[in-house]
Amino acid sequence: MVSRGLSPSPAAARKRRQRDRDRGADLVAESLERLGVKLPEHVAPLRSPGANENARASSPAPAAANDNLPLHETKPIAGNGPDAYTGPAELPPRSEGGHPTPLVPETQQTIGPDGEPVPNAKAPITPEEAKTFALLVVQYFQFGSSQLFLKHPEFVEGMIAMAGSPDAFNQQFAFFSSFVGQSAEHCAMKYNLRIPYLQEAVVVGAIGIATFGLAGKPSERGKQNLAAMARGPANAKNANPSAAASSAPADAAPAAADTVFNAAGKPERVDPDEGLWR
Amino acid sequence: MELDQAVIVIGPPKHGKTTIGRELVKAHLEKYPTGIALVHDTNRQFTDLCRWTGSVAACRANVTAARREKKPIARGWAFGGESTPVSELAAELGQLHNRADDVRVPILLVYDETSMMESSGSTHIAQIDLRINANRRHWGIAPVYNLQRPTALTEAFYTMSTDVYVFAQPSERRTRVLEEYLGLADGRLARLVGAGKYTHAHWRQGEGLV
Repeated sequence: MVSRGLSPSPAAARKRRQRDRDRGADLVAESLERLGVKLPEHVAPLRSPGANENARASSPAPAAANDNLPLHETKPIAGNGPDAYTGPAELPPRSEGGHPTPLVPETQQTIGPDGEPVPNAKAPITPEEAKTFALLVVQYFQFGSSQLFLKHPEFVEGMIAMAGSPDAFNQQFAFFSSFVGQSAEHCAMKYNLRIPYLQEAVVVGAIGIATFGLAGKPSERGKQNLAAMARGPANAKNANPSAAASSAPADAAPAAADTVFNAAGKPERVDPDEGLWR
Repeated sequence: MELDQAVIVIGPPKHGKTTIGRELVKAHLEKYPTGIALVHDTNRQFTDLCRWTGSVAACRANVTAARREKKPIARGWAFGGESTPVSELAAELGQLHNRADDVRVPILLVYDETSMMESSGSTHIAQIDLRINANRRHWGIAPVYNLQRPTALTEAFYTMSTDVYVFAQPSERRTRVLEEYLGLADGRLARLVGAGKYTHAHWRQGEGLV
């Protein structure tokens, strides 16, 4: 059996050669130091860096390299408290007309990673905001349901059949609408839900309605109303009840619109359509 | 403290590492009117410079309340707990406010005791720390790491650093590791072995020991 200890491994041999080289380098450095010879810095590292660490730990470091090491000293400092260094909670906008940026944005999380609620992570929703949210959800639900019933009459017929009568179905639908509203309000409070840009949507919607009223193309009945308005307010009232309601004072006599004077100068009642024709 | 600095401070306890960190925080807050300092400070050593809070969530709540009441907020924040949320907050704010050529909120991110960091360690660099160091010029973040041992963080941190403060070292073996990390000649830091308290050498990227 061949003993492996008699033939050192390549790694061990390499390590031994390195150690010998480092030992030689140390001897050279010590001799130079004794003779007072200072080598330039770029030739100082005679030893390979990181090799044979244990041998180097006991050897003195070159004095030439140590002496010119610039050292500094720390001095303790005292702060004036966190309130001495404050700033605005919002930064000015990057450009003219922009919005200020919150320095530290709110988190959208209401529950922290530890399961505890994050205190004031997001401004909690108020009951009024929750009611508004619920009202809009109910309106959306009712509008969508009416469209559903229009598009799928068999669906509403089935619901009426289940309820027993149309009146019973109406009652059930009203109850379900209020249930939708309560649930929406509950969800809004629980999850801090808001309708984004609600105020902006209201303003844009109002401007859109007004613009459509002023610049939009009138319908056939609208044209009749406008033509009647051009002939006189009394005729306009006859043209369309909605126009009459909007233009007549609240205390105006309703019979006046249906009363005309004949050729003899006597008042007589006429059919509203005939009045419009005149 | 410049905007794109990355600083490592190495030294044994009670030798002045935290003092360097405190100096950097104070200088940063005084130099930059919109600058903020985020300090992972589990031992509450920055409370006379920064408002201490237990978590990032509490910091956000405080700032949100201040904004609602239109009050000024503290620009220095010291955090207990884990370090990763602090790093993520710095990255979030840096990405939100800063560009490489337009740093609005200079951020000084200090880890007072790197051994308390749960992200990076002696054998690996965490993704969040890599992102911060790689993007620090774009995000306006200057990280500061306080270490007790040179090998508490990987060599990659030294490669990315711009300034290293070295306090007294207990053995020449450690100074040799630092010499290798910083590209210094052998024995250049040997004088620090057994040096007194509060004495340190300052290495700067591209300039060497200054």
